[in-house]
Amino acid sequence: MLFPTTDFAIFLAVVFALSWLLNPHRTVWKWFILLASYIFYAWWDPRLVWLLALVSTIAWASALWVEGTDDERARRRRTLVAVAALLLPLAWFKYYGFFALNVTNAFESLGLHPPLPLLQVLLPIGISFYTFMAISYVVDVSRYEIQVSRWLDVSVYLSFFPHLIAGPIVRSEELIPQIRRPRDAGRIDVSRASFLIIGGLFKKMVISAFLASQIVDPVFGAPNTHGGLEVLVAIYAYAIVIYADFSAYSDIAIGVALLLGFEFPANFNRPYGAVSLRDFWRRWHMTLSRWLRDYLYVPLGGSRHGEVRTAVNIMITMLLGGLWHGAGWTFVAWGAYHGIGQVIGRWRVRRAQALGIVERSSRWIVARKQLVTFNLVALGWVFFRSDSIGSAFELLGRLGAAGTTVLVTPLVLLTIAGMLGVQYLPADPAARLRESFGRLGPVLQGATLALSLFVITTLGAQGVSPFIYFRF
Amino acid sequence: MQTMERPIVVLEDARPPEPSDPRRASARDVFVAIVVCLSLWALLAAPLLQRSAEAGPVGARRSAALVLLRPLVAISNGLFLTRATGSIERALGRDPDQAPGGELALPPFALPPDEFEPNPTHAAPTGGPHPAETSPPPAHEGSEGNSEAPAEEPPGTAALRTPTRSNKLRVAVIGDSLSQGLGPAIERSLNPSLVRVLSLGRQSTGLSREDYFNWQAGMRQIVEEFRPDLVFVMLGSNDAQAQISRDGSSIPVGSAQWIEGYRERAANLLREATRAGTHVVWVGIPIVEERQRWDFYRRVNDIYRDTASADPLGTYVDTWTPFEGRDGGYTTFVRNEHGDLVEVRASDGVHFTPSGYMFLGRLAIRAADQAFGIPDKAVTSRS
Repeated sequence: MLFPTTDFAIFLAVVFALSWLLNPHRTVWKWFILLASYIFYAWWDPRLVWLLALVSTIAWASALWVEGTDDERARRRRTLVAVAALLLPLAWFKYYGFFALNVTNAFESLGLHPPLPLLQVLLPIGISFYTFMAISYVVDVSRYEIQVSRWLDVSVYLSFFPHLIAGPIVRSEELIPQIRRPRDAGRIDVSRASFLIIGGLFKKMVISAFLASQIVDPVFGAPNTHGGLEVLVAIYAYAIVIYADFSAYSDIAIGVALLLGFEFPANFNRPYGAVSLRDFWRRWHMTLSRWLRDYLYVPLGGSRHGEVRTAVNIMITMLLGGLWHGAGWTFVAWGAYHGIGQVIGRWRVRRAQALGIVERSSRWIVARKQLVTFNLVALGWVFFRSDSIGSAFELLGRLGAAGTTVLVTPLVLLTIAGMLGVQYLPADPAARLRESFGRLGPVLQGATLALSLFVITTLGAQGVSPFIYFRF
Repeated sequence: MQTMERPIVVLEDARPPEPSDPRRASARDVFVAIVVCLSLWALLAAPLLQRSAEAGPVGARRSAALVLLRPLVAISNGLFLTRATGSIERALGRDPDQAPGGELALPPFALPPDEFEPNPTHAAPTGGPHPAETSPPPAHEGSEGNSEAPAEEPPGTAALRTPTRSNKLRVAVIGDSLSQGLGPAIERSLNPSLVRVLSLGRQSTGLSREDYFNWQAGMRQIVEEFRPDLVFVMLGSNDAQAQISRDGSSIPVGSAQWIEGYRERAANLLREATRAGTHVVWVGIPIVEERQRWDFYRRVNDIYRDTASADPLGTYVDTWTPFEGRDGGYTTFVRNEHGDLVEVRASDGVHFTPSGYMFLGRLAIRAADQAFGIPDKAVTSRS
């Protein structure tokens, strides 16, 4: 089910009412919310709901198995087996086709018979998200950070519909306690929830849809027909499109969870205000960065074994992070690009420290760093968005080309500038507005929301395209 | 065996209770706000929702939505909300009375000055001269693409004119979501300094639902505003449903009347272009994964082929066979020009991957080249 649809609006109204009615009866509530989450998932494609139940069961059973021993080696061995078991469905559904195709072509180029059948496997939406959450659950049990919960709790944790399709990647210690205890029906943060949902819908249906259709899709679809200025603006526009699209999903997910009484971690913190690539990853898709740090980078050794090993660990983490986004060489290239960028950034800081250079900090220096970082990130998005590495270089090669500028309209430039400007505003610019909204009565609140929705549906594109991160 | 004892965190709400906050509301109040919001929004957006429901495929869901929306629209009209929201829509740049599928908006395009003069082929919106015979495609002359001299072919022949930098070949790609992928592929395969391609495909459109989007009117608009030399048409994948006209009359799918009506609509669409001297390549529907659709798609492909072949300025390209597997069934992978296997079909079993669209685009361009002769320098990728 897509968030910006009437189907979801009706679904949310019904689930909201029943969820709060059943709230005091915790076991009944859990079964209800699990069923609602499975319906939400099946709305997209009912064929793969079983997979969600299977991954939940594997996570729960393997956590129980891991917890069954206090022997450290056995515990580690069991954890590895459990993680492998959880990765198997992801490997099959997401990566088998890509792997088999590349292996087949490699074998055939050597005149050998390919060993793997070529198949196109249906990709279940959200599989990367719920698999990562399942892995974190088992590893947290293995690290004695949490105790194994009941199957129902684990299933609700992994399937809870607000985060199910595209995150945030919530950790068990953040969500399971909230699942277990009744939520406070008298203290719903309706202002924050409303602003997140309305803001998310605006970013998705108006900003993202407008820039994608006006300049991004035409330029990335046929780069050879566009001149340098159109290409440059399309690259900046895509940086806004992917931010507006993905942060919109996170905002709506967090807002919907708030309406049901749940608190999710933030996923974005004005990422285009970052002063380095490392800083960018602290602000962009924060729950994925946190996952990669805690369950991949640190277990690999992090920065504890010298500079070379640290660089290798950063590269491995970013390459796998890139591959997590999609089975394609463009995602590998994007991950490698960010890995190399972070290694270079780290090396520059270390060298400055070794030479005793004290870094000055002024508004202009910060602004310069923000500008450089934004441009580096935008350049990386070219690989993320292009259908092949060749297309990415073809697009970049057009940066110096002459051509028309018809796609570079004042409204396109204004939208990009506006969305970038928001990144540099003081924290929580809408706080006062939100507070005023919170003081309104429910009828006036509903009326205000209805008017906002009407403006969004009128301004927005007809028909809703899926969120970009759905395919990850 | 080594054992380690570590503190176990018992999962509980670690967050201390927060002080009373005026922004916090009760579930009952929030539910009231949600109901008010959805009800008022439904009233405000009733005409918009009705248009959206009308755009859906004929079936139980569409009928139920329309039954629910009719009283809402009546209330909205009674309260003068429709008029008020219509004004807001106009102020926001949207026509509240347009068909659900919207209208075509062509980007600004400066036609060469000489083409503002009416000529027998390009300026005849109705009943213009029509070539009686096809002329053989011209041999590729290797003419200089950057020549500034106008080099128009005589009007009314099947040959495409030789474009120049100041008078580019004008190509439009129209149709449904498949054409939206085909358009950029064709654009990438043609030389932008000699060819201007407009990709004008519309998702969920076809010939069945004129009440949603009328391609015949769309073609007329394209011919008038863009005066294309060549149009690629690719549609039909959404057409296995009742034919509904703008006046609301309906012909059920599967009837003989439906076939005749469909044939007429295809012919009208083609004629709208060719009577103005525009060449048309009708790209057939490719084989799809779902076998239940095969009979219908083959049947409409026959209609497209017959229609295009009957017109000297039309040609049909079969995309069914080139995307068949060795067993005659659906396949996801084909070999490219280097002999490598490439994934060409999207996971929905209907659409293509970007590589697949490039393959499809080359098929369509090859068909145009064979039928009408595309000048050498106008094509960057001919294989």
